[in-house]
Amino acid sequence: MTAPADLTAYRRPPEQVMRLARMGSAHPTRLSFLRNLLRRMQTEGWTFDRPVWDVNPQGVGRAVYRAIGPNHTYSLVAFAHDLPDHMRSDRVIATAWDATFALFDGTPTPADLDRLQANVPLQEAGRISAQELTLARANRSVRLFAHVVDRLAQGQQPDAAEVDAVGYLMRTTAVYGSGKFGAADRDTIAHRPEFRGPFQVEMLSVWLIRSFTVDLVEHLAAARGGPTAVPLDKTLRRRLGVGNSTGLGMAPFLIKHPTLLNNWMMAREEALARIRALPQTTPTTTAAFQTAIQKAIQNATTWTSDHPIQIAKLADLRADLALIAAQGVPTDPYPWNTLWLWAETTLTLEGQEALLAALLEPHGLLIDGLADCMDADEAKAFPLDGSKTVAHLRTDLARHYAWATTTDYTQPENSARFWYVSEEKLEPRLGERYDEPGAALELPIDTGRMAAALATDLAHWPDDTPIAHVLLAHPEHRFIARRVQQSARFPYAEIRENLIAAGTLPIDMLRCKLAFFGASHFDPRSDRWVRIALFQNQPYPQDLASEGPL
Amino acid sequence: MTLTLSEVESTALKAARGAGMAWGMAEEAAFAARWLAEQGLDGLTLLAHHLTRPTAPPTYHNHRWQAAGATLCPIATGAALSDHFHLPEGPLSHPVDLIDLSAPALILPFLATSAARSGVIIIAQWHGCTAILAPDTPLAVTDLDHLLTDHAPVVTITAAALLPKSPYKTTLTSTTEHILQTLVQRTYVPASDQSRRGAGASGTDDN
Repeated sequence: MTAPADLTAYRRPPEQVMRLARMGSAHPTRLSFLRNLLRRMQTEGWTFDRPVWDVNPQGVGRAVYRAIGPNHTYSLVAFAHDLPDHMRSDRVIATAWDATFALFDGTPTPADLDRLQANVPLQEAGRISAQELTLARANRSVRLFAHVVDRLAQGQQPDAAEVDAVGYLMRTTAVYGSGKFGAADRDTIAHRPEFRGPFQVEMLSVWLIRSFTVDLVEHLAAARGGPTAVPLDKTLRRRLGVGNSTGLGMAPFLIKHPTLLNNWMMAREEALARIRALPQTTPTTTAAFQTAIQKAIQNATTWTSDHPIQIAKLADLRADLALIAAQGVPTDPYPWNTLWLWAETTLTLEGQEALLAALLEPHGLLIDGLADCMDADEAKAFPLDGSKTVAHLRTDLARHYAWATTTDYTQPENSARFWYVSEEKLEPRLGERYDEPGAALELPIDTGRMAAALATDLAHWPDDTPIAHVLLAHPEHRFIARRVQQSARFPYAEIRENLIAAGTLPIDMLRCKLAFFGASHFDPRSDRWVRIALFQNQPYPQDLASEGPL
Repeated sequence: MTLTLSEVESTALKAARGAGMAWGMAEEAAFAARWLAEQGLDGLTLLAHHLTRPTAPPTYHNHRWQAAGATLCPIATGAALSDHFHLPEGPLSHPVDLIDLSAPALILPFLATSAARSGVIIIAQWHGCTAILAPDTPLAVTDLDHLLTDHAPVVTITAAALLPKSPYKTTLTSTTEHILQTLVQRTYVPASDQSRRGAGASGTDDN
């Protein structure tokens, strides 16, 4: 299949897409990073084994899981610990975890394992090497983990409702890659095809961690129940993912990597535009779409949250999915576009974005190649062009920052908050500007306010002045001037919202990023803290070869 | 401890910000430290010591860039050289002298990017050291010992354009042609009957 030449009429503009409420309604799609990883490994015929399992009956020890690809082998090295309940914390300030992990480049020797054993359990306080690609840790879901071990030890399967209510045995609280704590720099591995796409090493780590969590409960059940114990039922096993507990740290990432964010968004928006531009459906795509909607309905049924915002959004989602199912697939020309335009006038943002995900599902041939466009050459985009004039900058401001320049930031509600890094384990936090100290050290997340300040100061400069002259006089505008200049080439790079306003919901940013990872069951614990699951209902390594196309 | 490139970059960013740089300038410092690290040079140490010294951004007049009464900051200067590269004040149109520059190697990353984007070679010279930056080519230096110096009284930046590749074409003036023919003629042995016989062909009465 080829894409039609002119998709302009079918593209959603950045003004529509880059808004927090919509970003905070994002759903995982077939272009999400974990799907891209699984698709590649299935297509390339990767194989998997577990050469080391050295765990005692109390669940303490180490294990190695290997993923063997056409050119490289990667090994998840897992350390299982006996963590007292009172030390279990998901926050970055924790110092001990139920399990710790590193993804090793190759097959580790016993000496490698000993070196890692001396460092990985310490996490940030230890040091890994360029032979490691990620560093991660996970905590048990106390409720479900104990329930599953108890039941299996007694020769019974766990309660399916309990499995669905939690959705994972362990949740990771950090997965560090890209040169952090001594790990290999992204530049040193990004040339490998399997790691060119964003977050592929992190996704591989989490996927192998999922296998470890199931092996561990079966091991503990066997140790306790002896011959009575049974393995976990295959259907229930599949419904388990890996949980993830995420705080504010993800939000500054989206601001710090504008070209990357642009490329994620553009790939997804291009996919939607290609599908809307299709003149007709086929029986296969219609059937696959209906299956996708049924799966989304099923997913929304098992998706629970105690947070008032999410409870309301789940109600919207369930109602919208029912409307989509009832609407059916139109039969007029450009049927997907008809359906899309209907959705834009009928459904909430939750429903619209869920429809987007479902529309992408049947069209792998048309859109999967876009996964190759989701990385970014940030170094290339970095330099400013100082010979461009003030007039150019004014034009870009007017075109891409109109949302920012009309706000009065002297009003407290428009500058109520500030983002900062606490000296306590470098945790990113959000402060109240008018109630607490620290605003002088705020992070450059106040993109709207900076753009407005730039526009104000530019008013004093003639149109034909090169930006180089302005920036020499105003180094404080360099940060935002770079972004404004990039916006002409990367229109989806900026979240078009005042991120320091009172009432801004950081979880909207987290959800957008997590949906690109492929996360399901987004469950906010506050306006700035969220739990999700990864790889739920996806195959395990041993199932990948026999699985249908992903 | 050996730092990864990512750690060099994030440490430089925060340290530069901590030293009082605006965020956009701190990003430039992080870029510079990382670029030098990628060349196997300890740019982070150079930056760290630079950040402990009082410096100022440049002003320029007659191709002399300096900070009145202060040492030039190489990050602000490097960023400004990059911004001004194609402008009349920049090094592409005329060599530029940087007066009293702190940690001169920290301007090299900016020159390297400008060289690559503009397809030119840039030469930076200070006492004891010449550094050459060319597109898609590793950094070339004459003296590593003086490369990471803390200070240079004068740094001269010269840009050399790579000649455009064009189709072969040589047209001679008559004067040149005359010179060349005279010189070329001197490589020929004058004709004689003896030399004709030595040619090994049939005799002169052969036809």
